[in-house]
Amino acid sequence: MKKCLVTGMPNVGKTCFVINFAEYMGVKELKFHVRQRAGYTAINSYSLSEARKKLISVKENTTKEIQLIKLEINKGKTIRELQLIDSCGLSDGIHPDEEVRLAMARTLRLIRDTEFILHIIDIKNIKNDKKGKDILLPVDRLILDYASMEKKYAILANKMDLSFAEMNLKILKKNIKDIIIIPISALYKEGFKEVKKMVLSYV
Amino acid sequence: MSFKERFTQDYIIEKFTMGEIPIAEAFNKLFNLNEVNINHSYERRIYREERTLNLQPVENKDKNIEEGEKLKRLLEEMDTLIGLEEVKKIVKDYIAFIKVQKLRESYKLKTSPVVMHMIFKGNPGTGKTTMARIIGKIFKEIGYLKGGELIEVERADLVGEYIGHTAQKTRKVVERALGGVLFIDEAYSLARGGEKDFGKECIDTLVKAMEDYKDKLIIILAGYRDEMNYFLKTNPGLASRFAIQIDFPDYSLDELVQIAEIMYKEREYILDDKSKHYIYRILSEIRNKEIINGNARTVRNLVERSIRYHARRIIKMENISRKDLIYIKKEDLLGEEGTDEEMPCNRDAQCR
Ligand SMILES: Nc1nc2c(ncn2[C@@H]2O[C@H](COP(=O)(O)OP(=O)(O)OP(=O)(O)O)[C@@H](O)[C@H]2O)c(=O)[nH]1
Ligand SMILES: Nc1ncnc2c1ncn2[C@@H]1O[C@H](COP(=O)(O)OP(=O)(O)O)[C@@H](O)[C@H]1O
Ligand SMILES: [Mg+2]
Ligand SMILES: [Mg+2]
Repeated sequence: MKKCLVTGMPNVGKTCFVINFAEYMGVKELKFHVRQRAGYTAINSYSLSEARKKLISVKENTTKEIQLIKLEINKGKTIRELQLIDSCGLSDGIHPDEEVRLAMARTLRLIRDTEFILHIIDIKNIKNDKKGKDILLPVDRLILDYASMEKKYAILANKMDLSFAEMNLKILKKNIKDIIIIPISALYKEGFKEVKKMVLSYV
Repeated sequence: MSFKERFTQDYIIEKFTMGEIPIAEAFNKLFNLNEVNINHSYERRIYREERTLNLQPVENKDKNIEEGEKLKRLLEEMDTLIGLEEVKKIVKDYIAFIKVQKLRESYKLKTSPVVMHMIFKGNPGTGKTTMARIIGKIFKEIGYLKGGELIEVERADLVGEYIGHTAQKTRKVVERALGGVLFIDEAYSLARGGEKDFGKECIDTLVKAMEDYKDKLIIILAGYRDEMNYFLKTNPGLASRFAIQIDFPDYSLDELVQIAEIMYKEREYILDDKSKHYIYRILSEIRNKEIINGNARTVRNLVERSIRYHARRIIKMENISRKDLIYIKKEDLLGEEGTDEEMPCNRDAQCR
């Protein structure tokens, strides 16, 4: 089964995207395979609304365990499977909480080991383009630099429903060339058609 | 990956977990981001971009030199339309094609006939009429059409009530459109009533007109995608005469918001920050409610309604400032008294 890692900084909407995209792809009940630290995998079933309530939050680093979900995708006459992987978001510097660092370390391993990476960037994290200044936050830049060279890779510019999103998207597109950038709103399920198309080309 | 590499990597990840190194260092060490001795990832990017820049072919700048100023402006006008990338590309291709044919003619080389009749398939409000109008002007500018005007008609303008009437009516319309674009909206309805219907007479007359006035006008048939496909399938003679078939896909939410902003700008209004945020939600809700996607038409209805509500709101104010006159607020976008239930859905689309 092919795997796809959904990654990015904390609170950019990774979990929101995974849940809503799974619903968009026809998943009715979410069976999250949660990989526990001790090494065993537990299966947690949620209804979609339950999952939204319990797993998405305004707090940073809500997700700590690795959450896997299986999608079945019709490609022509065959059904392909794709595992979406949601994990702990990466933040800059040294995080004070050891549990979070441990979770981030697992994400680093996943980034290394997964062939297909969807990098979610919160559109409000895009900075104005001034000479000599990066428009991306350092962690987003790190992920982009590594993954765009080594992996099948796309940026999902999330929270496009926000008011200034358009302007920031323009800046993003102007500064990051030759990389697939798909504007989405994970919350309102916008832009998912394009994501699906891109995922289809991979499975 | 060798054992040694994996071991080194585990060691780095361990150091990160212990809080001894920050994430950037972990990244750089793990993924060898500091090859070529460039440590900082931003500088690395500049380096990479410079490298790729050198590989890119130099753009051919003198390609556009002989284009007239007016044509340039028309093309700009077309480019400011949101989305519609496929159509834009096709139009540009045909401009090139026609220009080359003209040049070949001047050198007494063989030319291929250019037939520019088109089928536009898509939902209401996807820009079919708007695009047809610009195409008329563009093809006038490159000398393919004399007038470039657009005449927009539908079944009732073409089909008459008794035998012979339809042919006469259709011919009149064609004559009026000569030198420009004849745009037939919901053209599939011409095949409505089956064999006995006068729509058939109209189609025959159109086909004949296309022979008679080969390159004197452009006929564009427009309508819903499925209906048009069926219409063409049942009228194969017609289909073969319309080489150019273009899909007008529904606009994405993003594009709709951009269209809204353009519409406000044209009317010299501005969305304030809150309403700019809000218009996404409203458009997304309307879109989910509509049976048929009204696209830019839905946007236009929303824009026009909000301008009415804006007037209703500010007229009650004591002193009306210039700013009040310009800015659209969130409540102007809402339905009556702030309820969402009365959405300005596209009426034509709804009652279908
Ligand atoms: N406006 C807006 N908010 C969003 C969107 N997607 C997610 N959010 C909000 O962003 C916050 C974080 O969402 P999560 O899905 O929990 O983000 P995450 O990346 O999984 O966060 P961590 O697991 O904590 O790293 C929540 O409050 C969401 O409601 C979006 O498209 N638009
Ligand atoms: N891409 C676009 N950018 C800006 N405005 C548009 C766009 N497409 C359509 N509109 C506007 O939407 C309205 C409806 O478009 P129209 O061309 O009549 O659609 P159709 O003929 O497909 O029903 C017009 O007011 C037009 O100006
Ligand atoms: Mg999460
Ligand atoms: Mg129209």
